[in-house]
Amino acid sequence: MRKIIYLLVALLLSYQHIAIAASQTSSKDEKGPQPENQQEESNSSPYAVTLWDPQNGEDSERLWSQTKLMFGLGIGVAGFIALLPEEVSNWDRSDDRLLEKWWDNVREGPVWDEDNWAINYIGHPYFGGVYYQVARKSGYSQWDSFSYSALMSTFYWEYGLEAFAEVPSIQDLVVTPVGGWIYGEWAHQTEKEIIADGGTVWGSEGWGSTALFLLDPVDKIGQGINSMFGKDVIHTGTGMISPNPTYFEAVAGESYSGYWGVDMVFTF
Amino acid sequence: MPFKIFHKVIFFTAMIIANTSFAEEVTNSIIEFSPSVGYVSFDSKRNLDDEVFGGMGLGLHFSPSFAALLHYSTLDSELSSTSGSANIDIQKYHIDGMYFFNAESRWRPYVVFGYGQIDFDSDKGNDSDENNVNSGIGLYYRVTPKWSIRTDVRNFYSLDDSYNDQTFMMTVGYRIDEGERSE
Repeated sequence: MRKIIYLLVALLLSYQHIAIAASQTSSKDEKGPQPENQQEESNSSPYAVTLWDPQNGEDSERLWSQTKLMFGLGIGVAGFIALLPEEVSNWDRSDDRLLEKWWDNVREGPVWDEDNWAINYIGHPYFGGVYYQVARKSGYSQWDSFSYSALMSTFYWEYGLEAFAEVPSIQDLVVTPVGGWIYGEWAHQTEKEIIADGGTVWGSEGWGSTALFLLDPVDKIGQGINSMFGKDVIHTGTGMISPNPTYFEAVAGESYSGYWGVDMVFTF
Repeated sequence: MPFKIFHKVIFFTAMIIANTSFAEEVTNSIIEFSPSVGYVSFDSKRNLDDEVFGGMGLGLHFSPSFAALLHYSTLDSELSSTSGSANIDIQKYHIDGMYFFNAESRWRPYVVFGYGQIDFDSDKGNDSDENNVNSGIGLYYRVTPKWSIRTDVRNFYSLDDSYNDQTFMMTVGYRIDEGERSE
């Protein structure tokens, strides 16, 4: 029974990826990332964050929609688990209630964690890059997108969902948005360049398709299926690598540190 | 790391950033990776051998005058006491703010202030950690827009046990993308 619950939780949480998927697949012309809006000349500091007050035509509605979806699903899953019988959820409510545990973790941190280096320095930058691209593909500048990634990784993840399971980590707070900036911008620009080149790499459509596939595999599978059927059978799709899913630790109190997985989510 | 101090550091950094002027749109070329080597001289009251250490930094150069970096370093030392000796695995990390003078020049003297922690893991099982603040002075040299070298001397003051440790560190800075742009 518990495995079924974990599977459901994983599926529900995977739905958060749809928010990301939508940002990646439903760019304004549905053909890949858009040229970012150039910042107009102004006297304001380039470090000003305009996420809530777009100045140059950024699609703030889309960004807000994706953000709400991510938060809503996260809270929904947590609420669903909290309503389950303790013997099913395995959430220990007797001596360490959920909110108390979250607050204890928040108060104790941030600390230097001792997670596997691949989780800290590959996994976290990857997820930071995913957050980054949500904003970047909505037309925001690099600094705004970095700021969005920093806010999401800090408050949604480190001090949000993950704080139910562990104390926020100093490395994660820095490495996730900074590493995500590097990876996210690279992926964004690379995808744009390939599309601008007519989907070719080194003059080859084969290499171009391969590169685009590797940058966003499930999006390309979805596009292929839509092309095959001649209509939008799949609205959104994305894939994510899942190292050591923390939500399992949060709900089960068990560690799956040896676990690596690939999630693929499509909406029809 | 105490919650309040960490957030004061973040707030202070944010205030500086908000008042930083920069001519062009911000890009990820402000990101720096910085491997380093150094030598630490521990407070004599610790009874720890002074040692060479290696480290890595990651941070942002918000302007030619100001940078904030997270730095990690590790070393092995030996503790000598009347009851015998023990090998100590030491890890240090700190968040530093650096202010560079003469920022238009290749040569830039700087001051650095930071806050962090040092962890001691003994092979005898006596582990401990301390919060500390550090301050120091250094000299930066811009080799190319992407590469720089800098060296500094610092004092690390333990907030928990009032120890004073000194370090001498040499760092190579690597800025991604196009690196530091001329204003």
